[in-house]
Amino acid sequence: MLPQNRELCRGVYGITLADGRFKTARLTAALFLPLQADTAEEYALLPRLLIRGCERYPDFTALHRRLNQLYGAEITGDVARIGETQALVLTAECTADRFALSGEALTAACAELLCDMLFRPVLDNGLFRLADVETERRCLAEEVRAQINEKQWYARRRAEQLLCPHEAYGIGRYGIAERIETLTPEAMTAAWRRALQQASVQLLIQDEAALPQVEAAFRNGFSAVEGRTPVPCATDTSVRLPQLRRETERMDVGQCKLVMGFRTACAEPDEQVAATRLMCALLGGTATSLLMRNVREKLSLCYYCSAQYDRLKGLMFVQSGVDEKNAARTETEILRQIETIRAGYFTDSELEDARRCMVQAFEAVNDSQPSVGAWYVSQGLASAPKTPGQTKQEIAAVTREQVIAAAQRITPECVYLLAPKEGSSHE
Amino acid sequence: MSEWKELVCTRSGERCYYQRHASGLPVYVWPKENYSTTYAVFATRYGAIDTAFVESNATEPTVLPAGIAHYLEHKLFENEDCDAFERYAATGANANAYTSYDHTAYLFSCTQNPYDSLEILLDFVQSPYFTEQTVEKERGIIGQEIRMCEDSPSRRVFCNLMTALYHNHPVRIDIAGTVESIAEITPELLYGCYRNFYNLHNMVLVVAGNITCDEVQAVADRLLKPAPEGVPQRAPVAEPLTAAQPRIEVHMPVAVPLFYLGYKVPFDTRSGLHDESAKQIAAAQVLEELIGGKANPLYASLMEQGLINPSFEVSYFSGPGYGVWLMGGESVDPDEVCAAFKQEIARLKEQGIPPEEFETARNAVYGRMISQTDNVESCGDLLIEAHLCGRSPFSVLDEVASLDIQSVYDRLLTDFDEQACALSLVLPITSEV
Repeated sequence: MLPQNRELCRGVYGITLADGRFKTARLTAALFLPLQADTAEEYALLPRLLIRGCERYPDFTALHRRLNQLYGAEITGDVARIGETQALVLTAECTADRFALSGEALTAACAELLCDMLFRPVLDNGLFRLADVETERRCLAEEVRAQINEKQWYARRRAEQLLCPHEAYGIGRYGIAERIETLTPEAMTAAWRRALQQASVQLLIQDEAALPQVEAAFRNGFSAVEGRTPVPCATDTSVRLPQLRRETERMDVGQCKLVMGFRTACAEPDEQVAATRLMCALLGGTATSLLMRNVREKLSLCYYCSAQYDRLKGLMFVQSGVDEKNAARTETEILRQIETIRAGYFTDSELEDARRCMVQAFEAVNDSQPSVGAWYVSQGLASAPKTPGQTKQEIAAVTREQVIAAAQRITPECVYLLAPKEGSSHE
Repeated sequence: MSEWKELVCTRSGERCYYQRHASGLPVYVWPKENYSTTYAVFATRYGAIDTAFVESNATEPTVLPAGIAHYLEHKLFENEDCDAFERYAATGANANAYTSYDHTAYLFSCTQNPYDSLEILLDFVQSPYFTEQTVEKERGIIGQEIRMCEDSPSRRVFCNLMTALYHNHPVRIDIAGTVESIAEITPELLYGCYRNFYNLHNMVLVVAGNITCDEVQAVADRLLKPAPEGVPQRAPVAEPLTAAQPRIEVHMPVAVPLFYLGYKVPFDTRSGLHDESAKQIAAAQVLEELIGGKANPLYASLMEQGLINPSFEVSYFSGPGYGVWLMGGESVDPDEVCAAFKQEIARLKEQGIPPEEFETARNAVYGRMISQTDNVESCGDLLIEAHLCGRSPFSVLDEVASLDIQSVYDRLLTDFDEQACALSLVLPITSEV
């Protein structure tokens, strides 16, 4: 049965995904807002601030003792970038009531806490507490700066900035550390009120039974927000760079990270998205992709070489870790494999291998509650969200010609290389 | 035909099945009703800590270069005819492998053709094929994997801690080895390791998800080749109780220092076996929550002082002859965090664990363990860990449910010795001068 996305009140939608296989109840509230340079940091900080407490549990330690009493219930808050939308995601997870040793109503208690955090956070004279804001903005700024620690992801982030210098996508999901550090209780309180007024909201209820009281609590909460007018979120997929941008950054590392950025000229809701997805899998999305077979196995140039497609923004990134002396050769080989697809020089067997792999990945989504949750959140606020089964059918229907056409549409727009300084070492 | 023994978790209602196959291989099957996914793991009790073996016709041990277990894991995917990944591509399974300190595992997950994928798994792991040429080809790929790990501060801070804690135990050496050590690996050495450690009596097969015992047995009967009795014994390691060095530092391009404070747990290393009971593991899990969880006021206090961030963690892990408590993350002042943590341990040792805090921590661990079995991969991994540690699959959950406060307090008293403690740091390059 297809999940129904019911409008609970203006701009607030709820999907109930009852599944008796799971021993865990999971509730997600995702607030969708446009990703913009002047609000990116405050919206990135907001979920973290909200889950620090609520009126009933203003003390952080007391809140977490309560969560432990609820059998290790967890409430998390973070932000995701979905195309050029920021999704502020609060999630509560707890053991299903039937496993409580003393028959406690765990799910209802968790839902109540989640609702309290969103609508009744801890305020002091009408503002978020300075100590809370200081702690969370420091943590977020440290996390942003720590992106440099894992070079593979740092390089990917730098490539995104190189590819999208004037687009919201280039802001990233957290924004800039220096701007995070300037956020005040006043700014955060205003951001919270604005988010409640302007966000489109997706509520996901993953529990054995639908919880009318959860829906009612969120409906009542949002209905009480004065001046609530959800703003539309859109992703600009029209931008093209006039010429290839190339950047080499030197750092004290032993291995080069090569990231190539491409425009695919295909993004949601284009009907060729499925073909582009399959093309990307054929190129570098599986253990037997063209990149793995050739760049890694035949040429032994790298340990990893993979391609990822962002279907909401219409971008593709190819990433690899190589010796600097092999970086140019790897880049040439990656382009050669793309040419191979454009020219149709791949076998039916290679295409079917990629398709099988994707089909099974979609079939597996329903076996994991977090995957199901991420699946629906990642669709933004679709009026008729696709199920994993529907997407699987789309992949199954893609033709060889459509894959070739998808490859013919892509254009390289940036090459980023993180390379060692001369004589780099870590001692 | 061997009989399946049913293993039931009375608390969660989960059940799985075990038999020792006629070939000598222990086999576990955990059917998960209404799931699409199947997850299989074929593992051997051979990991990075196995640094030598004695051939049946030899008296002296063959000493192995660091990283060879991991290298063998890579090379086993390549058989004489083709690569195992190419065979998996025909079934659509998502295959992988990993090497840890004490075991090597080959695995796949899929939603279609599970028995065809199981055949591939059992076949290629039993069909080693190493030549000068294929071994040489892998050196470049693994060399890049090692370089990638060397550039990872989180991996460096951990590996350095193990080096600082242990004098002799091979857990002090990085699993992947070094570019220099893997240069010594030859086809002959790989075959020697394979003969010695990839004996079905020394291995285990776990299949969880959309499968049945009968079908798994049918594939096992067709594919498994009877193995001679006997499993390799791990050589005992004489490991002093003290840490090898109290502090180890390295400079890398990081924004904020990374640190791990580690406590080496006193183990009876004479047997070379992993010999912690389910009750001891349960006690460690509850103690983790008590001393490192967000419900401990220490967490909020360190956060408010600007000394930790959400990367902060306290965890315990153990294996044959080693056991380590880890506390760490990112901090602008790791020494200050370590001092506060040591003070908290001392306070708890002196004042005891408040009963109500023990109860809520135990509840939390219990609830999370119940939820763990929602996931097919977690079920498979739980079976692998339990088997390799010599425990029944649901014993730790049972022990958590009935745990007493004294067992947790006992671990607190024995596990945190100042002399067995070391601090590993990765510092920003800018602070070097």
